[in-house]
Amino acid sequence: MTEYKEKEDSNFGMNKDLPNSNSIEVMDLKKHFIGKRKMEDVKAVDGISFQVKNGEVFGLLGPNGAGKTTTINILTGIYSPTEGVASVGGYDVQTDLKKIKELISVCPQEPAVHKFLSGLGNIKFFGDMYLMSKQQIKERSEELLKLLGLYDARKRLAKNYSGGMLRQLSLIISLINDPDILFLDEPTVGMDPRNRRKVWEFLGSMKKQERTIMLTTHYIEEAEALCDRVAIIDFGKLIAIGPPKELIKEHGVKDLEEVFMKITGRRILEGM
Amino acid sequence: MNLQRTFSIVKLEMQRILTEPLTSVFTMLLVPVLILIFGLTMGNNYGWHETYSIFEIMVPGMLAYGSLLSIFDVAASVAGGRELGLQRRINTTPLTSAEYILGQLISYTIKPFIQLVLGLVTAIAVGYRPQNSAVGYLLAIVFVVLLTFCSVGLGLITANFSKSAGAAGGFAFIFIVPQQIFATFIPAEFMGAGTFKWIFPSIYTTEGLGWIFAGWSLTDPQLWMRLGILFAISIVIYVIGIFVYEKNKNK
Repeated sequence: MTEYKEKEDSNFGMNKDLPNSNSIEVMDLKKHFIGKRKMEDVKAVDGISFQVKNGEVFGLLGPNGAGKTTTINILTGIYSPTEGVASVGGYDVQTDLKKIKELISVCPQEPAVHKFLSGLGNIKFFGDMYLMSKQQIKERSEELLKLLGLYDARKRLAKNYSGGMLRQLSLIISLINDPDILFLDEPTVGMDPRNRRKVWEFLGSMKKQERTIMLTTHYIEEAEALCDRVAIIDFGKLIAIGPPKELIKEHGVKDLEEVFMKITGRRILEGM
Repeated sequence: MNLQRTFSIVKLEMQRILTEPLTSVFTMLLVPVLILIFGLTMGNNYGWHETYSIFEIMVPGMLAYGSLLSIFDVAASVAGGRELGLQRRINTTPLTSAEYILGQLISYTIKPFIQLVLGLVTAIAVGYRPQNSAVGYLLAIVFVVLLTFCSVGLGLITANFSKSAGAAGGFAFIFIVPQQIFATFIPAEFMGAGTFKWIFPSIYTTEGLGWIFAGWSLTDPQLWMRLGILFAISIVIYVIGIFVYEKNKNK
């Protein structure tokens, strides 16, 4: 398997007062964990480098355990990298996390919501975390609840929501602060096709507002429909990066799944 | 430090209590109910001491015990949030650890305060007669708040070792039970714990409350010495709790 290194211009270590064309920059990022058998060194992320431009929808594509979520967890301050550097919004993830948290929002893989609160209660709680006023929270939550079809269920306790509704609520929570940079970790897993389409449409509209979105997915059609560029990851290494159509054309195949298969000899779904 | 975020945490914890009635009953009414039962059955037993009835040891001990239950509440809340991935999600927002822990502290001080009021009212209803001034009662609240500080710290430490809310609830009793047996409503001397009772933070609150309710002078150095020691222990445990939480919050 050939490891891919992105060769685009990086302005790492740039003067933070100057406008930066990259929202996210990652250079030779590594994250190793100690495995259950103590001496085992698990390389979850193994030296990846890429940049995400302002206003770009960037997808991390790969099978389960490829390193997608770990990469997002490093960029959002959950994990510290073992080696390498990463910046979000021009701020270093190891030293300027506080500033990064003002710019971003994260929709985690699991629908992490307070089950004892209503849908609206959850949204208000997270609105408070971003110091939004009551009026701002009211207007924004109504807009999002209506757009994503959860308005009628807003007063129900989250514990009574279906799996798909919890995913929608989790997504709405991540959008409440209208973030400059949005991290979505498999945002549509568990949603029915109709709601998945609705989410795609909404994310498409965010793209028009020049919001930067980084999403992980193993849905090929999701990556192709939403992403300006995708990075294909396997065993913690970046194996291909580029606009979906270009990758497909370059490898002479019909979709991204086949790109993955051509490079790795496996299907993305095999790893799941 | 932003109060909007801190009070949002307080509101959240209050809602958690209200929407889980069993937890509310357990944590809020346990102390008054125990005082009611033991007060009615043993309130006038002077057999063990010339001057004090069982009541006069039991009521302050029960009120201190109410603060110890915060260990369980905090541990279960933090570990439960981590189990559901909520802790990680919250940690990606601008909420700071200081704001989060202050929110926890306020939430879990409200409950012992309610228990103090309900417990005292119940005790008075079944014949207990605490004697002191309004300042004395304020000092009693300070004793309870300081022990709650300590309990929140122990709860944060407990959550660190627990993978789930259920496990945290179990581990919490490692800190609760010894204090409950040797340093709250059972006189330590009964248990042969007269010498090592000092290692338990709750003994300082139990004795402090006991003396205040017995009408001791509020300038008595023994009272202030216990308050001082409790303050020091609480600060140390609380700081350790914050340190452990900060280190492991993204586990």
